[in-house]
Amino acid sequence: MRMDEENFQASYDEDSMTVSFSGSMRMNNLGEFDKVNKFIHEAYDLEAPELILDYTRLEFMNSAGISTLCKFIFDIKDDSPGKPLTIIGNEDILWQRKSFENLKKIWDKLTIRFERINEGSAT
Amino acid sequence: MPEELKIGDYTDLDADAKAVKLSFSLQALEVVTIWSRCGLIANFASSYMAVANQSKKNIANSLSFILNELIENAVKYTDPKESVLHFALSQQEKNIIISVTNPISKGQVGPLQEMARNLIDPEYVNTRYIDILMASGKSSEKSGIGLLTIINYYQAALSFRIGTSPGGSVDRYSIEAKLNVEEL
Repeated sequence: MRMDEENFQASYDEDSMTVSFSGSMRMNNLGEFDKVNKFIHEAYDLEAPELILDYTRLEFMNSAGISTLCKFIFDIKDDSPGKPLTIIGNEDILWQRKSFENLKKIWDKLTIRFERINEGSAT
Repeated sequence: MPEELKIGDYTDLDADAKAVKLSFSLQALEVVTIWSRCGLIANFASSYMAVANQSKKNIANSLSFILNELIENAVKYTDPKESVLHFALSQQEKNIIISVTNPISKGQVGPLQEMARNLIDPEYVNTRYIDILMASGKSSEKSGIGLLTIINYYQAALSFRIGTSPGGSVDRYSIEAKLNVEEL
């Protein structure tokens, strides 16, 4: 599964059960984020035992994108049986640290961790 | 005409002739039709300011996030969309001040003044951020969390000038965001 948009990419890797984002997600409104929401939902609905969302190579996301991620968490948090969700953020990007830490207040079962990526391999 | 109101510690960057500024003026419609221009302007202006603050490794990313939210906000509220919005950045020692001004309709003045009063109230910001974030996640409508986000993430001190300036004929919506470089 893969999305190739003008300013960002998203891809799902079956082996690692991970959706990885890269580039810049700054669309105009929540409606334009529907494709992203649909992509994440499709990955979540696969038979894998967990889902990981890796944002470490996503340089920018606007507040409409942050709302879209919140919406996804709301959609799945009361699922029964639920599936574990992990969000990986970039340790060096402040908007990721702040926004992802807040997501724990929406769903305390969410796993959040932060990683550094090599300077030379950043998008 | 609704009377112009200053809300918060609005310093009027335009009036400071000594400040080193980077400023832009552009028709809102040019951004509405090609939305990625918001990000392009934010990235350019943040890189311009970042070269003077090289000890702060990630300042360009943080500034770009803030600028993009302010420009998106201004474009959304500009009425009519054919009119021009102005935006400027200035650094005064350890503070970076961003100013954005756009014309608005008469009907927007009251609601925006009320919103501005809320946004300069620390209690409102601290108690409502998570509520509004959660509400934005439940709704498919416009999120409305952009300005709250830059206060919450970067401790931006926002101030506003909203209404018709003395002798003017157009209702304007101006936001100044004062940022401490150490928070970026």
